[in-house]
Amino acid sequence: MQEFLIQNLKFGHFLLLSLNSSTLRLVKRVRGLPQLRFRSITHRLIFGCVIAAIFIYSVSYWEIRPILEQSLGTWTIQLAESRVNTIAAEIIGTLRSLEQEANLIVQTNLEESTVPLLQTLMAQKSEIHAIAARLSTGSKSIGLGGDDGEGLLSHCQVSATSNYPFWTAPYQLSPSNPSFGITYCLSLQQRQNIVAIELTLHWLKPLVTRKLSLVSKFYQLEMPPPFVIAPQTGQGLVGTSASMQKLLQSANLRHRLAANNSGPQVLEDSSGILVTTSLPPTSWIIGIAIPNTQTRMFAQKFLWLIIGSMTKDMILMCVAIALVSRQTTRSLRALLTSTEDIAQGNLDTTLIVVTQHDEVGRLAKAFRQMRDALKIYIQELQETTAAKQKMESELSIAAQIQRSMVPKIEVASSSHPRHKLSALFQPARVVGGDFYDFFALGNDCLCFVIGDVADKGVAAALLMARTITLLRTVAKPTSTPVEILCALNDQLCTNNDECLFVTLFCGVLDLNTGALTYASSGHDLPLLVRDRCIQSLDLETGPPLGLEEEALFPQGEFLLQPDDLILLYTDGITEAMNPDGELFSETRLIDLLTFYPPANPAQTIRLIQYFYRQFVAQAPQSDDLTILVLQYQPSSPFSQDMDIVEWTLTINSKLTELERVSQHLAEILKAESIAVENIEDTLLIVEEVLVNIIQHGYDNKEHQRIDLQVKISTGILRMVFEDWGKPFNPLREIATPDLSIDDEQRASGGLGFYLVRELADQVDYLRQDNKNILTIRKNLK
Amino acid sequence: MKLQIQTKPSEPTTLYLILDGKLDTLTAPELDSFISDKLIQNINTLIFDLQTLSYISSAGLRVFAKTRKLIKSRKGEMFFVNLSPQVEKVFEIVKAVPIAEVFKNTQELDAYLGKMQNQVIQEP
Repeated sequence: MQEFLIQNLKFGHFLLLSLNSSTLRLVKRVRGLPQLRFRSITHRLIFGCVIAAIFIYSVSYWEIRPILEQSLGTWTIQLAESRVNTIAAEIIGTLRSLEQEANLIVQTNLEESTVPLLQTLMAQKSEIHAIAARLSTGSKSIGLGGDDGEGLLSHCQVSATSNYPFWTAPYQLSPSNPSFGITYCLSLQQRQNIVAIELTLHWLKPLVTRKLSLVSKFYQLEMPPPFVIAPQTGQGLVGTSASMQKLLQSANLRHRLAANNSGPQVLEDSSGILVTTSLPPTSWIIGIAIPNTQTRMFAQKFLWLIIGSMTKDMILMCVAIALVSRQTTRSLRALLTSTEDIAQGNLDTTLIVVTQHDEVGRLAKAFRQMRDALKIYIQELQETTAAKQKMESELSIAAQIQRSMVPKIEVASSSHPRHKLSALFQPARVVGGDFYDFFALGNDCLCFVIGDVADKGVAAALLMARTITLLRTVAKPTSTPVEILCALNDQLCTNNDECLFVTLFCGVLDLNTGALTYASSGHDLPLLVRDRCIQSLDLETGPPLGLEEEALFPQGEFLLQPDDLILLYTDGITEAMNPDGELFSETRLIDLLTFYPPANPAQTIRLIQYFYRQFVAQAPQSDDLTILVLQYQPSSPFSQDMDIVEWTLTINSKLTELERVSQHLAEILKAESIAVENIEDTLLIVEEVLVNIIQHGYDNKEHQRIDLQVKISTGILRMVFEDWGKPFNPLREIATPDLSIDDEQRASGGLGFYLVRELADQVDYLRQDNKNILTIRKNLK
Repeated sequence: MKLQIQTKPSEPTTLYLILDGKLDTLTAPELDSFISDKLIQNINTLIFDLQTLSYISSAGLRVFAKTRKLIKSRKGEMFFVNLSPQVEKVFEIVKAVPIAEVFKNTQELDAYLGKMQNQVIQEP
């Protein structure tokens, strides 16, 4: 119990502090609208309840208030009435008792005993000031207590028609005594014989203003003291003169006084409530005037009391809510701490045991289960990742091994000068199923092979390794391609339950004669590039290796001419996909080779690579890319410069051709990775030269031929322009423009050629065989 | 389209042209006819913004020379701004345009024009 209290005291302290600080963060402006942020469910609850309570209580208050005011009004009036009645009753009592006593004395007694009885009466009642009597006609008046009785008796003879007994109106007792008195006049058997009893009114005020005994300070309406007035003379007997004046001025009151009903009257007007009643014996009016201000003040006090009570209720409720909420969210907070801990990576935090069966309890239980599952999952993941990494490292080693299985180009070329080879080997995944191979067969023959194993990945790679090893084993110095394929097929068909197969093209080239024999097992036939024409080698293919035992393979024969290029490829290039899903296709490959006829294998490979990359762009590589290019060169040139790139373009002598030539040349130069600045300069040179040839050499005659030969070797670009126009040597015919003079006077043609001379490093002109031959050399920076 | 010509709104006596593409033998006549149309009588300032002009050959230079001659006859001025590397190189080789008429960027051009205007105002 103690601990509970202490804990909640601390909470109270904390709540105050946090409310302070959270109020600062409470309102966050989100896009111009204020949005409340709560750091705790408890705060939210309290806030919500307070708002709801304020709303509910306001509504109740609004309803209660008129009712309350009305009730208060009624109650005030009733209270005043009862007060007035009480006082009236007391005054009447006093007066009536005196009347009775006096009447008793007078009527039942003989003359002689009257006076002593009257004396006794005076002694008894302190309010009696004086008594006077004329007991018999003609006798002298007797005065008791005061001076002579005549003066006193004269009061009774005010009106001849007045009926005895009666009370007189108040009058001043004597010139020296300013207080008021009244006289009770009785008559004896004869009208002339009267007794007058004079009363002072000093007892009146205390009676009237005496406070009621029941006082409960807070709830008591403090009424103004009652007043008594004698309507006959308009004198106020009790009550301040100011209020008396006000009342007398009230017209209604005068009217009421005239009516002179018995019983309390209630009069309400704009300035207040007036409760009056009349006193029958003396016709006095006794009343209480309650000004409106006082009523209102009382109502206010009451309403404030109610508001205070409501506020107390609200506060107590808030405290209660806070306590309950704290209890409930204690579990949540513990869960929160655990979650934060787990988020840091510590999955082994202790979770609290929650015994509640409500939502919080179920959450805690589910959370525990989740934590446990997470632990297991992470462990499994770690194990899997470790295994995966191990596998990947093994794969990359496998890739290296595979790469070493296909022969490298440099090793081959140097020992066989009668041909040139270039190859591209790019698997799609880490290891692939494509391969190529070439090796010497006997003394004068070259055997070259390209193959594709079904599918990709590790399975294909293993079969590729087997096939390529088998290939070298089965190939004898006298083997023909068909024999090789049959031998391979036999071997691969055994133990091939998976039905994996290999497509393969095999060619044997007699380097002396150029005779090529070839066979294919389901593989695309290679392309032949001869004199810038492309054709496919003709042959019917046999089935892929590994499927049919005793399969037959047709053999093809072809005679190669010097400089012929054979392009062997797999479907990696023809079935390459671009991001739009289009295939590269054989057509595109053929078009490519037609447009940009390559001069040597290395150039071919570079060309195909460039356009492949351009085509595929962002799309992933879908299949293994393998290309082998062979060129037959029986007479080996003196210097084998692998880096020479040559292109020849034939141009029509129309100015509109300039665009085509520009574009074509730009692509060629880009494919050779020439620097941008050099490309720009070259294009400018070409444009200016061609314009000159067309305009001056051919005098703008169309459909005349211009040849442009572009040769790129290391560091130097050479262009040779040949045209069959009239003899025109731009070096001599075109004058150097004088740049110092103002431009409007420069010769217009000279400017173009001037640019050519400035941008190129060497310009030579030759007239030979009726041709103008302009050679331009540019160093590539 | 190999050459695109855009006008940028400017002072009433200024023609501000933005050239886009290549200015070679084939496209130069387009520019020539465009300028003949647009260079109405009261234009005395001509500005060429060449930021997106990637290539110029002698034909283009000729058009500029012709235009320059025309502008000078009106006591006007011609400016080039935002030259690309190839164009700058060509201009330099043939000394096509006085250095004073070439500006590296639009800020420098504006500053110069502003200064010129002030001078004009101050002259009696």
